[in-house]
Amino acid sequence: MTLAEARVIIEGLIFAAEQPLSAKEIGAIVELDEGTVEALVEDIRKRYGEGALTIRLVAGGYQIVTKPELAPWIEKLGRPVVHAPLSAAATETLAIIAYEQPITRAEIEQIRGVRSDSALTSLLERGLICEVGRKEAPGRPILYGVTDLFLEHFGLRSIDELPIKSIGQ
Amino acid sequence: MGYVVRLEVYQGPFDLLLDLIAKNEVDILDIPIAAITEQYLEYLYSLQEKDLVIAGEFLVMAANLIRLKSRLLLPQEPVAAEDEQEAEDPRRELVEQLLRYKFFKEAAQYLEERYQAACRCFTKGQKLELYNLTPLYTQPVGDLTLDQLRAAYERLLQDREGESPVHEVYSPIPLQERIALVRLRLVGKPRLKFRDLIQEWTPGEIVGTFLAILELVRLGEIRVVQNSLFGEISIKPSTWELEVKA
Repeated sequence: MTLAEARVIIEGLIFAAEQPLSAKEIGAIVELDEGTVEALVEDIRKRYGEGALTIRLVAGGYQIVTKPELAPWIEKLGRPVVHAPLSAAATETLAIIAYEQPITRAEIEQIRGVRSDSALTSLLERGLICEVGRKEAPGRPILYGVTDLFLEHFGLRSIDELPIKSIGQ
Repeated sequence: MGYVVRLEVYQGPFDLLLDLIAKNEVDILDIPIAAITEQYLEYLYSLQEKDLVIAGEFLVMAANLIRLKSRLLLPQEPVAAEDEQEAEDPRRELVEQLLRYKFFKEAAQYLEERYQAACRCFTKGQKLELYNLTPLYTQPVGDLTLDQLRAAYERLLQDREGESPVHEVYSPIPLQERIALVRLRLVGKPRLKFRDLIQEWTPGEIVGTFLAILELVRLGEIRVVQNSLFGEISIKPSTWELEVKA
């Protein structure tokens, strides 16, 4: 297999995959190291040039998406279900979980100063957070953490892409 | 789950406080508690005037602020002079909480921006909520006018006035006597079925006997077991059980 052939295969893999596909996963299939895969993906992205598509890196994987400047046109088609707006309470709760995970509901509520159960429910329903275990404390409360879907929906490569925490400075 | 109706702009007491601090252009590390407390309470009063229910958390914070304000008004005890450490600022805990909340509020704004940006890229085959779907309830009340609705409601109210209740439960025997009757029936018996206690099967007797049983359970005199929904209720005297075990 030549690199040009590999490039075509990789494009097909990313297109067909349901979720973002990591360089490691692609490498295992086409039997190339991650560095080469990354370079080939970059090549595909460049070749898209002035076309409608581009490749983005989210949740540690590649995904073929339409270019952002097409959004106003695509939105005339309809609004994607997954992109329904999040409430301010849900976004705040999500931010706390993203930084402080694993975290319990009581700890979240202490930071926010208000009850947060409905925000947690909506985040769970949308698959942006999940239960990651139980805290070894009285009542063994549920611990929450963010999911890969969270990274994907927020266009984040990994959790490290969040701005550095600077509390109390 | 009930409906969530959001009328206030603030996410919680911290949100409101941060906004007041920003509006007053004061340093978060040196909050003028008296002025901020006053404005905080004013906001709550304005909610009250609009007949809105104030969430409990806002009231807890109001109490905290008032407590803080009174602590700051009292002269400091000179005990701290002996200590090397400076007397602790009573506002410290609140400031820490506010700073922490402020950080996450800003982080939420950052996430919101990321979300908006990420929303502009579409993957293939994404489920779209098409706009041209016909809404199910475009005219939920049809051609009904407000006057007609009002007339219909008034008619309903009139109809109801003369109606007698569907169920009327009346017990000629007071609860205390019912309890006495149940106690009497239980004497010397290891267990009893609820149906054995009922003789006439009138609603008054059934309800009265059932209340008597609940009262006896509360007093700890009997234990009640029902193995399935709407199943037979068996009644055991607690004392009997104790005797058997002994």
